Amino acid sequence: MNKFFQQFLKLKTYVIILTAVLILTNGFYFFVSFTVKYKKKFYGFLEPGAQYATLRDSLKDVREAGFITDQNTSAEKNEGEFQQAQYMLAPTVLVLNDTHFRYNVLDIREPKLIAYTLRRLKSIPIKDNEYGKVVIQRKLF
Amino acid sequence: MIIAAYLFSFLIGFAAVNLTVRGFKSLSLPLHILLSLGLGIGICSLLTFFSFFIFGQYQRFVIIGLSTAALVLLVILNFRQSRKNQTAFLAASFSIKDITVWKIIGCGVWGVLFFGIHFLATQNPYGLWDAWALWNMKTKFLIFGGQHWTDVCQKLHWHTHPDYPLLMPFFHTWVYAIIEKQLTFIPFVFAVLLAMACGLLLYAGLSPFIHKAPAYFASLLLLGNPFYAFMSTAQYADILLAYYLLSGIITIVYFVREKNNHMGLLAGIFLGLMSFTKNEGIVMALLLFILTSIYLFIKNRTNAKKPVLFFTIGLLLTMSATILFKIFIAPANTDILPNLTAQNAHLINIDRFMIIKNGILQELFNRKWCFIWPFIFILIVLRLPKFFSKESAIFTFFFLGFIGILTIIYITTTTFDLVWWLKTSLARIYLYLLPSILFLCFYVHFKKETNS
Repeated sequence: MNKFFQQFLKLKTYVIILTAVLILTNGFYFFVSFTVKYKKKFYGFLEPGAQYATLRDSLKDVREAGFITDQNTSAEKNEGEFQQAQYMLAPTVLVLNDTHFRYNVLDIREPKLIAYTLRRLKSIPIKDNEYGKVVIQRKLF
Repeated sequence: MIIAAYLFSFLIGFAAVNLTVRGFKSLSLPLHILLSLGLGIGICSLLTFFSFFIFGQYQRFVIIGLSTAALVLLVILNFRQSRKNQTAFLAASFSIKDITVWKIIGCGVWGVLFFGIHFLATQNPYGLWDAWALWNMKTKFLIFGGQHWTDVCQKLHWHTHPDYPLLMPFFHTWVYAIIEKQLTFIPFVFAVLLAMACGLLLYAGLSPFIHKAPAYFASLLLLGNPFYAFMSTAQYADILLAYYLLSGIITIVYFVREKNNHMGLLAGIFLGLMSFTKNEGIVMALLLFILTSIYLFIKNRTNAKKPVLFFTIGLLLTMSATILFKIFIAPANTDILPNLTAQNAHLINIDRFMIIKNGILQELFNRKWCFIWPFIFILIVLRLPKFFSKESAIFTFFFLGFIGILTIIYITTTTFDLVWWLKTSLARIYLYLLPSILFLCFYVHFKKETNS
């Protein structure tokens, strides 16, 4: 009995009890998180940058291209369009808002602005898709 | 097929660990296996990096050839050394009698947790933001970029941290060289495997020094934490950093306690691998190396040279990749270093310091971590003096030093909005420190003293 109390008074015993309580709490949260996700309706997963997937072939073997957008591109507030495009179109390097390249990818939501950009850059669209993303090529002559 | 690739990498790691720690009897088989997993990943990644460095682009058969040659060479060296020293081929000890009902039940609980972690990972099959925007995107450049693979460092936008070391993308490239398909599946398997292995390594690393029950509880505490499961399977390089940091700390404990120089060599190797994983890894590797060397010189003034030499050789063996990468390929870091000399740098800025302090505290007490950090805080307070005694002091000073360095970086960096930066990066820092801090807390509270 004395031995039992000695053991009971040890700090290690309390640490073990505390650990066990925390494991049970974690287990409960884990189970809840599992159940919530398990019961959620499944809509499938889209690969990041899927909206640019159809443009990949037009940029095949192109080392660098411009990425022109009218969206916020700051590290803190952007919607990830530039990163998504870069991920999907790799290994073509996209250069943000730089129009010096032969090929440019347009992520412009305003149709008037697309027309203006084409005219300004003396380019022709070579590929576009249903998400409004366009690959344009500069006219050589 | 992907299992075959991991088995190949594991065998390379197993042979390398076996060769390094030959004659060291107290290494258990689970620890041997888990250290082999990490070392195998590291060796395959470094071989891939050197193949890129020498041949200038992705060459599938060069990568496979180098890896096969490495495995054959390691096996031959193992046999030769085993014959020369007349020792058993396997350095680790294992007996079938060790298997008990409790161990089977314990493995069953781990199995359930593995199922849970795997399920949570399937909810993010492409990983979180920085996983695909940084690491997986860079892997695409390495594989499909041809001779222009260095564009990841020279031409990509600064959002992608072009100066970051590339151990993880090079390992994904290595796996791709073996299987040549399922590029998006490779990082997923990697994340799930390492998330689970990190918890098992915590158990295997603690169990030689403390009783098995608390060691097992520590692993359950880590693996059962839902936020750990979520973050570690997000396909960030942080879980790999956590794995190498924990491996480094475990091998340093062996090195210092058992005075085994071969474990020192292995510890150095892990620190070097850590430096090729992320920039933070370089800071952590150097800090741990310096603190351990100082400890050895204080403890054994006359006999410290040889152990430190082994430790340094191990570090240089793997850190050589980081040195080559930083000198010849990576651009200068634009986020941190220039700010120290910039005119608008505010080294003593109380506002920024308060924002950082509040950010750290908010993350500590955030309920997403399921109270694990307040629990760690209680463990530290209960045995505070013991955290500064013997070899534990190395790690306590390491964590304090690292937090200090991070605070300075946060204060001086003006490239990002500080609040946003804290919000997006603190959880990852906590993730890679968590397994090692748990190791230290349980080690301090439950360690059995050695006779020596």
